[in-house]
Amino acid sequence: MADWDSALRICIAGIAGVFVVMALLQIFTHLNGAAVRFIESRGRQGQETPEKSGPEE
Amino acid sequence: MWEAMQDLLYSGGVVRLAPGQLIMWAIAFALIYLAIRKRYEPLLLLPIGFGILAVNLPVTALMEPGQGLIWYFYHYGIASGIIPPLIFLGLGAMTDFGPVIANPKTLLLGAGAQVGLYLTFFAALFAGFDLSEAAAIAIIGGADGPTTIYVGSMLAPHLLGATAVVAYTYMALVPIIQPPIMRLLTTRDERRIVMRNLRPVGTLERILFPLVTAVVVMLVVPAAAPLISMFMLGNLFKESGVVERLTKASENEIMNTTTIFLGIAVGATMTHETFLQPRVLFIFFIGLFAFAVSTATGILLAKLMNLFLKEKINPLIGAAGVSAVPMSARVVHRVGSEANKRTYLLMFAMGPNVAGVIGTVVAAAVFLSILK
Repeated sequence: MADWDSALRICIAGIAGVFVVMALLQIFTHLNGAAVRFIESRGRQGQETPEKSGPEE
Repeated sequence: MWEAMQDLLYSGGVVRLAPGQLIMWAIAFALIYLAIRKRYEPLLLLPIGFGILAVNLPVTALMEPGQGLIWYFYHYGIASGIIPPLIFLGLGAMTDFGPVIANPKTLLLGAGAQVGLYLTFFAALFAGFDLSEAAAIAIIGGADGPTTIYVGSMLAPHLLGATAVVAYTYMALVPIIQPPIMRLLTTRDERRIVMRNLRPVGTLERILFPLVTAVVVMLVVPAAAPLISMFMLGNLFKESGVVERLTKASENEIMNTTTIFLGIAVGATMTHETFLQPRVLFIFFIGLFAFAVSTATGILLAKLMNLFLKEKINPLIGAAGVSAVPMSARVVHRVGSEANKRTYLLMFAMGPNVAGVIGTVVAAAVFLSILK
């Protein structure tokens, strides 16, 4: 006879675990993407600024 | 002279052949045929088929504990849990997470297909298997061979051969199993949805992804550590671009060597005494159910997500959440392009496809953490 209480517990823990992990990964992947794009755009701005400001000075 | 001949005959295996062993030969030859002729997962089905043949020859003692050659492969490679993580190292080195990074919501689709895995868990319990056996069978629905073998070796070693063969056989049959379910659960209009092109993904994002994934998964589900750590290490090798030798070793030498030992050892667990039982053969039916239900839950989650998303996704890509990389992504692409020639789904389906691998590892880890 199967232990249905344990089975249900495993099922809930499993589905919750998978969705929590994937949701966290989704959030961190979004944050990573945003952070990297921000850093890269700042880097580009940093490279462009001296060229633009050079002749004015 | 005659006595010497008799001794030779009786010391050999011919007179000890059991009918069950002949049936196992037929299964072995069938797998070898499928591998060579039909190219169904040949990297695994060929050594598995040979392993079945070798272990079902009498007197060879290849799986005799402490004596047999293949027993050593099995004991130190699979029962110890070493080979599946090494396979994951190679898989990581071959995996491109770009589609997931560019479209992170596909990570949830990788989770959706795992719901089917838990429905299969209950189906196996109803069929009379105990909790550990049901978990080892349910993981077939993840369509991930190494994870199936890892869980099987830990929770139900006596079913390992059957679960592995079922997983690899149905993975090869994904192009036949999935399309009818896809068509049944989606309308033609849904299948025609054209998705916006994925943005390009930079090197830094690609390097950060395996690091963040390893930390998140191992913090939340520590039992996933052996598989996910190796998977992400392999991917880090690839994406870092500074250890080309290690990347090549992971995806070629290590992967190929371990695949040989994995295949032959898994095949060798399938002796006629352990395999030819109605409940073991029943795993083939439950395995089919597992694949079908996981495909369905992936699609249904994609449809559910569409209720909340401004920019609709093609629900077919949910079916790729069953892992089976890259076969199920190709199937999604094919079914999508049948409905609309402008629908190019391959790269979009690769997102849930690789996310499904992570999802299956997490699901397996939950089983292991509770049942082991």
